[in-house]
Amino acid sequence: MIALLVAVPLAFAFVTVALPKLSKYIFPLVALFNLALLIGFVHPSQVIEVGKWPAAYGIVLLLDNVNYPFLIMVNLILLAVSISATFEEKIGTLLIVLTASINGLLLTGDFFNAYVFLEIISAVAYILSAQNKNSYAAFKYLIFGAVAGTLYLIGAVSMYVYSGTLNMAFSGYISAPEYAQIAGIFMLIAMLVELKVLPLGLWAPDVYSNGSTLTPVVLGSAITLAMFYFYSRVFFNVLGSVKPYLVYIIAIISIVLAQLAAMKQKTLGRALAYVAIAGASTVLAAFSAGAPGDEKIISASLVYLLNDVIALFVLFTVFGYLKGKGFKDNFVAGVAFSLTSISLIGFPLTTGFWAKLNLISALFEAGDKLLPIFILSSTILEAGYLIKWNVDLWYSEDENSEEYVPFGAQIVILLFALALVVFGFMPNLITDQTDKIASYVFDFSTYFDTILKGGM
Amino acid sequence: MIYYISFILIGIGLYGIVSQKNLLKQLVALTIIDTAVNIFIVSLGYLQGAEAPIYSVITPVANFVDPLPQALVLTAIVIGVGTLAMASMLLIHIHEKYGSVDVDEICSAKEVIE
Repeated sequence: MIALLVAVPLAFAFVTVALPKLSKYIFPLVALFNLALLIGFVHPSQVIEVGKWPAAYGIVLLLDNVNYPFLIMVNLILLAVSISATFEEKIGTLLIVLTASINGLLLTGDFFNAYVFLEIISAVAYILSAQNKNSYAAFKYLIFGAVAGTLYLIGAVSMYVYSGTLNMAFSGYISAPEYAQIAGIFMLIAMLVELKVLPLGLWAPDVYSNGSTLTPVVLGSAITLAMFYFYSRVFFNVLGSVKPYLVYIIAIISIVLAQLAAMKQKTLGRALAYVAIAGASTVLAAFSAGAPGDEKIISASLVYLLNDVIALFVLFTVFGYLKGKGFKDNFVAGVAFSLTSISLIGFPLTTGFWAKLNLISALFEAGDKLLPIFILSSTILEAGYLIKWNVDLWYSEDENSEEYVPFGAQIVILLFALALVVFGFMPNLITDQTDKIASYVFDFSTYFDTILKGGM
Repeated sequence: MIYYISFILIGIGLYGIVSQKNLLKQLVALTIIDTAVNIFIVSLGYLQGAEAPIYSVITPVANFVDPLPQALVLTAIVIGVGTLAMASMLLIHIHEKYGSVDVDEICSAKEVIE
């Protein structure tokens, strides 16, 4: 049944090619169907052998305790996008294809199948990046992304050479660690590009600031979540961490560069783009710090990721509609923007506060003092420029502005902003789930047994 | 030997992307990388003296090259062509907007537009 998460969106994508006007209605219905299927009809520990070819010979799709919450979150974000964003009919088809490919990436247990889904996601992302006549930025992204794709392919094929299979679980089990590390380096570079870690994420500022209500929201929320899942699956679950100290250093440099750049930006779109880069880099640095198997750090970084993803959804949606104009005639959008800014900074009684507090205390417990220093410093910088942007927008003199946030989008961003506050009062609602993911993400034997059904 | 050729080609492609200011040349460099990776993958399945992986009366003994890398390369070629087509479309749009596909000229045109 879990194959329906890929098959149904793909089938409806074909329908919308013939009936493009229906894409605006089919896209939310597909996302709703996926959510209903996930919550009501499937449960973790399900494996589908595609074409009845058993693992490790054929492709398997797996639903387990690690990807299950990610699938729910991604489909929820896509449902929210279908309500809040404005897009052309033909883009609706692309978004349905994107839904299928993200679900496929989250479910697959095969290196090459993951490559195909990654490339489909990238192809959709390139087209979304070209929105608002932003072709030059999209081209830059395409060059970065295509090179990353070929590097991932070299890594995936290397795993096949070492193990004789493309099945993630079995090739991770059978490959010698030193060979898996070589393949892992290729995959790592590819993922650093997609996770927009500087300097490999230099494509991101131009793409994220294109002014669309769709591009930065989809790229910064749904695709980022999927990429972090895939990163944790490959480097925590299958191959083991690859050069974690090097990734840690690169991510910290990326945090510093992104925060300094965000501070200097004169347009809100580019400032938010650098905020997105800094957030992703912080999560990556925390993932690297927790790579030896520290569940507390991973759990805290997942809360950080969730806060970041929801906050960026709201901030980019408001920016996309108002184009940096003030909140005078858009009170709800202003409230949502300010609440998420507060959570992103990490003020007490918001999700961001617990994300940062948990992460810093987990890092201190693990004896890491470097990353907490950078998190605290970047919090101060973030507080400075985000408060400045909020004040500018609330006291903006732009009157008679024609820009407004549609009713559907207002509801979505307000609900997301309130969710960050509610989770701030009841952090256990999130931390219980992230603790569960963190406890399973390092459990290779359960993953192996589920896919291989107890052995070959 | 063929491995070295493919990695040399990847190096040439990467150099092309980094050094060229003409976006069309960057795209050509990207296709060189694509082709090099495809050559690399096909070469992994090659066995000296082995036959094409087709069962027939002429080949009763399965002394075949590995067919999987060939299947993977077919998929990779299709994806590569798709990416190339999309990049070409973007280049046409860039040329329509800025009147050039040269990075320096695009930057100058951007400053004028902004």
